[in-house]
Amino acid sequence: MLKRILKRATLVGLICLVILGTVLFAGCTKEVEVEVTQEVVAGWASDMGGSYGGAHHYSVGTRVFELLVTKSFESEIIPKLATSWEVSDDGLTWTFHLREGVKFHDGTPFNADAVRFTLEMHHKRRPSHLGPVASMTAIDEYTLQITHTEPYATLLYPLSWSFFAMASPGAFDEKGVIVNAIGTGPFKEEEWIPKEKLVLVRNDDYWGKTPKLERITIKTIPDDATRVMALEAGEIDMIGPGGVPPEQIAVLENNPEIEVMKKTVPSVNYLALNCQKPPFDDVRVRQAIDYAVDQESIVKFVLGGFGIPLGGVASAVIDWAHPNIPVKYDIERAKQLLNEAGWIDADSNGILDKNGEEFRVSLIITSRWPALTIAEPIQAQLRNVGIIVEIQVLEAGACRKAVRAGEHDMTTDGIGFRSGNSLYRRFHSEGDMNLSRGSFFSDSRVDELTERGRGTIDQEERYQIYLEAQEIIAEETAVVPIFSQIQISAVRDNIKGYKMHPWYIVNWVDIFVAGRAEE
Amino acid sequence: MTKYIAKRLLLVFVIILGVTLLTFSLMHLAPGDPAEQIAIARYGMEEDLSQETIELIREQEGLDAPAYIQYGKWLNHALHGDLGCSLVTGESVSKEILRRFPATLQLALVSMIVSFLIAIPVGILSAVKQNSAIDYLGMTGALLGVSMPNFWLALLLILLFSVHLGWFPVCGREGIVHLILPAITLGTGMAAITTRLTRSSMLEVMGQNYIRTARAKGLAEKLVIGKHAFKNAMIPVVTIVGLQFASLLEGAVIVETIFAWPGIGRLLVDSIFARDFAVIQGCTLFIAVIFVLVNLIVDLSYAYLDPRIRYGRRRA
Repeated sequence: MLKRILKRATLVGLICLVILGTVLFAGCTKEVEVEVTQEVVAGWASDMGGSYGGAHHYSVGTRVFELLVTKSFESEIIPKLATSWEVSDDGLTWTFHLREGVKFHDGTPFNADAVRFTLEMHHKRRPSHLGPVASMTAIDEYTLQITHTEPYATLLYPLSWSFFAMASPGAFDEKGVIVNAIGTGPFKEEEWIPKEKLVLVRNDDYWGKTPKLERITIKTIPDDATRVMALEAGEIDMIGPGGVPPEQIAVLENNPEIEVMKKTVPSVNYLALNCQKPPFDDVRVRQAIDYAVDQESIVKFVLGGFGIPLGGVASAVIDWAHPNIPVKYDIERAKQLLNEAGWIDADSNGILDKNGEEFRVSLIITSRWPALTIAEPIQAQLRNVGIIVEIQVLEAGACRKAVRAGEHDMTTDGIGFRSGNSLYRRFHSEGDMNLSRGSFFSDSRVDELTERGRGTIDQEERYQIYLEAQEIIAEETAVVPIFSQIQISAVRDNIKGYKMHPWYIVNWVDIFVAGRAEE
Repeated sequence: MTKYIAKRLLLVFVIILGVTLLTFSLMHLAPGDPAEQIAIARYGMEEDLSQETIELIREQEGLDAPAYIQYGKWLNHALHGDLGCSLVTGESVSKEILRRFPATLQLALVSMIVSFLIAIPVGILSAVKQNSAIDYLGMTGALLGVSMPNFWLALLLILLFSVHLGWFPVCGREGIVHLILPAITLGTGMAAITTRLTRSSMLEVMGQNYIRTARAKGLAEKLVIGKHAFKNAMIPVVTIVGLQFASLLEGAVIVETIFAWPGIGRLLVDSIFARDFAVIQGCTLFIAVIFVLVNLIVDLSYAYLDPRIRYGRRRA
């Protein structure tokens, strides 16, 4: 009897519990927006925390430090910590007006003295980028003057790049190395484990637009495949610019939770010809190479479409790029030029020869992308016109040494265009990179134009000079341009606001994590 | 015994001298301009360098001095306990090595444990049940383990267990759970070799007279194998395992790269490409010392495993 009562009671109790439970949970299925922490974990290929005097990593990737000027999404130089500037009529003195009311993360005021200190520290360790500097003076609290011994038109370019980042005087040690990450930027460094991770937190006292993100963790993931898998697994939310290799794009694009972004960047890659020794000392032979190489096929088939075939040396992103230099591909014209230069297939073995010597050239490269990737199709394409290319892959140091000594006939190279002085450095007969990177190109017209360009402050005038220079460079085929790069980034779909910048700058202030409604 | 240990430890100095001298000479002979390599490692792209910066580095770091002077300076500092500063990051070399070494040690230990857990039981079982299905399975497994490239295994493990199943993290070193996939990757390769060695060693020992005697005495088979055969079979295994462990302590570069595991393998390889002499010398010195110590421990363990050696020493 008791047993039966108990049994009944338990049954009723259970039913009550079930009803209660349903009621409670029914209330819960009603939609609540989940509070989302504004934290992003990003994966980068190399350590974003910088190295020796590491400011150059911070600015572009991390926004701990800022610069006097920066580049807009359209590649124009725009004010940042300097609000305006002018150049004296003789072109020797630059006057910068600095932004007022800015403080470094350690409370030190940002003013002309601080700027002068920082620039001098950087200049000592990285000489020549700021040009032939005679003096740097703080005229008043917010005005700085830089005087040169000769007009240096491209001063704004190095000032827009990471290594001249503005750091607090307290950030440096006695050797002039930045040892404490104290800048003016929207984020502060919270923790840095070298080569592992960098943690940034929001700077609530930032002078500009306050970022939405509270914390950014940047992990160093050197292996491409691992980085992509980490994104897929949700272990990181974002892969920084250039961190997604083209082969992995298909995998990511098929994933509905991931957004893949592409951007044309200034970097270009080309085939460099050793212009100081035969056979490439003959301009007709160089031109023939340009006609024989099919840039479009290389981009389409070998780079998977991730690149833009290039006719001139400057990527379309560069403000002074020549708009009309066509990509050349014409096998018949190539053969014709080679014949004119004396290269014919006398013994009909499919290989060109001249004076009894076969057209065999060496292509000395490193294994770093995209050297080998473009070297092989080039080798095949040149074989079609009767040229044998022997590819030699060397370790980076060995390759540099061989190229510097001029042991090669061809090599591959790229230009990043950061210095603003690329035409001079690469194509002037005494340009440092012309000689160290194996072109050894020499043309008196180009010499004169690039010298003039370097000293012409007026933008429009410099543009005209550079246009002419590029035309001659293309005509003389100093190098054979192949492609300009498209960089790829990827984010998980709940990360919003990221816009890829042609100069690798990450707009952390605009990025935020979108809240997702839970069912 | 103590005299023996002391003598062995003295050898450490001779070895350090030899190894670091050899390393330094090789680095010096390597092609390329060290000042340029260092500049690139410090500042990023070649484009951002000027010849002046490179010359400045050459001057500041004393790279234009003759080789024997550079080595002599380094040796002098090293003998006083100062391994110098990295030419790339400016950080103290000893600090960098000591920061990265625990990660390598952790991975090495756990990989060894994984390897043992697989290899010893499988090896013994294969030997005891020779030519049975278990034996063939064991040996095929070992063959697979030795043939698989470890980077391939690593990526597959990540793909299956991290991306698809979500059981383990992809990379990094943040918790114990991060250790598992890298340890399995390394452990499998080592287990393959150790398994085969255990099996053949056991087979050899089991064919010995004293084992027949033990059985004839009426000892349980478990004791025959576990107490008599096993210990004696372990001598060659311990040698190989010791060497494997020592080489793990050098850092498994490929696994470290794929799993973004912050060990000294990557540190050493990166510094070689950067021609960072200070770090290279410091790492090689460190690794040489570790090798000597591990070998010492292996030799001492012989004495534990084989009483003949223990008593033999005393007699001498």
